[in-house]
This record gives sequence, structure tokens and C-alpha cells, in this order.
Amino acid sequence: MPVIDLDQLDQLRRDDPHCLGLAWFAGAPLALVAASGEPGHAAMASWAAVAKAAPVLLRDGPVVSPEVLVRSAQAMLLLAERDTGVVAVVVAATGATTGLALVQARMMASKIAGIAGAAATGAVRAIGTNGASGATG
Amino acid sequence: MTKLGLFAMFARLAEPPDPGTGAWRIRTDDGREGIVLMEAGRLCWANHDLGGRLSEQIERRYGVSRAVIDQVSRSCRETGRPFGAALVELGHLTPPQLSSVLREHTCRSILSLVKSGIRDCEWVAHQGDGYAPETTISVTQAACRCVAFVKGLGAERLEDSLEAMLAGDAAGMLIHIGSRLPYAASEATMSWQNLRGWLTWTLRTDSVCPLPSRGYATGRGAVGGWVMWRADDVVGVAVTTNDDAQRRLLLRVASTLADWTVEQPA
Repeated sequence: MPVIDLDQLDQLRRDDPHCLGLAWFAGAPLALVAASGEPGHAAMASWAAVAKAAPVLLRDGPVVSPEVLVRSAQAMLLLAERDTGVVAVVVAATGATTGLALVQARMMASKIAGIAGAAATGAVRAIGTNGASGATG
Repeated sequence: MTKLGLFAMFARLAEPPDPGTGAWRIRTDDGREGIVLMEAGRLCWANHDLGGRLSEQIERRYGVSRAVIDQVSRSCRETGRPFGAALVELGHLTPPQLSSVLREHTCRSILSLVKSGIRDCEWVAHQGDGYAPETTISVTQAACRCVAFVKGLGAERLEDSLEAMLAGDAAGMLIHIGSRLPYAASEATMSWQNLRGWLTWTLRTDSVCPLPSRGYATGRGAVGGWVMWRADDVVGVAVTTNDDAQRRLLLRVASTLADWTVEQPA
């Protein structure tokens, strides 16, 4: 399993005040590789729950969807299937900010996919486990 | 033959030999017979000895007097004119009322057949051009209406709630999470396999990602996509087949879900 620069994830999350959490999952069955923050979403309270739900939502539905959005009253979870695995981004969102939140979540997902891709190819070296980020191996 | 339950019965009805126009002759445990007529794979009429009479439903629902019904019925027997069409022509029913009562009669007759225990189900192809029915109902819609009837819910109101969200852009259904049953299916074509597959997937999704009330989830694929939404204990699922329809559907769900009303099963 590739390792990821956790500080980069934490920095990404801090850069966006609306971002509640982000994570990268890989493998089969899908498992959490790294995360920063918490999902804090009404539909999925933990990253483990996200890992369990992601394949069902992305791959098993009536239409296979490389991107799935789960919206509750306060938050939006974006799941995106990438070459390196699945990226999850949770952003705070009210009704008025849905469009903007989605754009931000997509940008964030691209950046995480980039970091994950670099980690997968060994371009980024692991700099240790950030306990505060809640990352797991 | 093993007795067929409601869903097994509909699974059988859903697969008439091509071109799907003809009659299912059904024998029940009590030795009685029933019939389900189909036109191009859609249900147009069902009857069972123990099922309620269409005339009684017309009287009960629309207040058409027994005397008028008997008079029209006699006249139709003499002239060969269809009974329902005559009631409309004479102004006793509107076309939507006729459609509604015919559909209810069909569904209640199917329920009566299932309740009596189906022992034999034989297909007889129609020899002519079909039954030329004014009103047909899809197998999936009929199955969901039967469920709604059994649960004492307003099948048409549930369908109206569903169509308010779909607006012709998608096929879909409403599922009651508590009972794990579908209560309404869309007017837009949805096969029996679609119904079973989408129901199974929605329930599975709910077990791993239970949407909060007034929450929704959506995915978009190469062509079309899906939207799932929830109001209390009812989950809607809709599937589109093109990007424009998907955009419209998602916008409608996102903008109207907070105020969307749907009858909640007890």
C-alpha cells in the first residue's frame, strides 16, 4: 500500500475553511489509506462507513458513476473514483452554497488524487503518521 | 405448481411470450378461475370471481347510481359497446376517472387471485390485433399499487408524489424503508428486472449509507445517472438515460425536496 504525505492532506483541509474532512481509499476491499478530519456527515459518520458505502454507491448502482454526491442539510460528501483509488471530500454546505461547495469539493478531490498518484508512484515520501489527522495505513 | 406470492405472480406476468398480447388464464386453489389480459406487455384488465365488481367500484367511488349502471350495462350487452367507454360517452365518468377505476379494479382482482392461492397460470395468445384498451398499466406500476392497497395507502397519491419529482425525466419508484417494499412506480417504462434490481440496490445503499430525511445522493455515468432522495421513511430512486434529464432531475430534487410531500406508511 503506498504511503501518503499526511501534512499535505492536513494543509489542503486547512486551506479551505469549509472542508470538514478528506480521505483517500484504495485496495479491494476498499480500505482507508489516509485521512484528515472526519466525515461528520449525517449519512456516514466515520471513514470506515465511507469505505463500506463507496463501492456500493460508485459501482453497484443503476448507472456506474465515477463521481457520487451525498447531500445532507449541512454537509456534502463527494466520492470520486480515480486511477489510484477513491477520494472522499466532505464540505460544509447550506442550500445557498451547494454549487460553490461542489466546485470546491471537486477541486479538492483532484488535488488529493494528485497527491495519491504521486504517493503511488513513489514521488512523495512518507514523513510519518500524523495522529491528529486520523490516518491509518 | 407451487403457490405464487404477489411478487412471484408479477414476475410471471411480466414475461408474457412475445408480442405480449393475450391472456393469462389463472386457476386458484378454490377451483375458481381468473383472467389477466395484456396488451404489448402491459396489463389492461384482470378479473376474479371473488374480486369486487367494476360496477360496484364505479358506484362507490364516483356515485354513479346502480340504476344508471344497470341501464348502461344492458345497453352495452345489446350493442357490444365497451361498458367503460359508454359511461364516459354518456358523461357519467370522465376519462381519468374511468382510467383510475379500471386500474384499481385490475389491481384488486390480482390481489384477490393471489389471496386465493394461484395454482395454475396459462398464457393464451390473442388471435387478433389485441384488445384495443383505452387504459393499460405497466406490470411494475400494478405491483406497487397492489402493495399500496394492501398497506391501506393511496396508490394514486403516491404515484403523484413520485411523478412530481420525476416529471417525465426518469423512471423510478418510491420505497418504504421500514417494510422494504416498493409503494409506487413511475409511468416511465421500468422493467420488472429494473424494479427488482433498483429495489435491492436502494435497500443495500440504505444499510451502508442511510440518507437523512430530506437528504439526497446522486451519481452520473457516461450516459444519464441516478438520484436517490429521502423523506422520513420513504426513499425515492430515479434513473435517467441522458445528461439533460439528469441535470433537470437533480435540480428538481435539490430545489423541491425540502417541501416535497409524500404519504408516509404507518
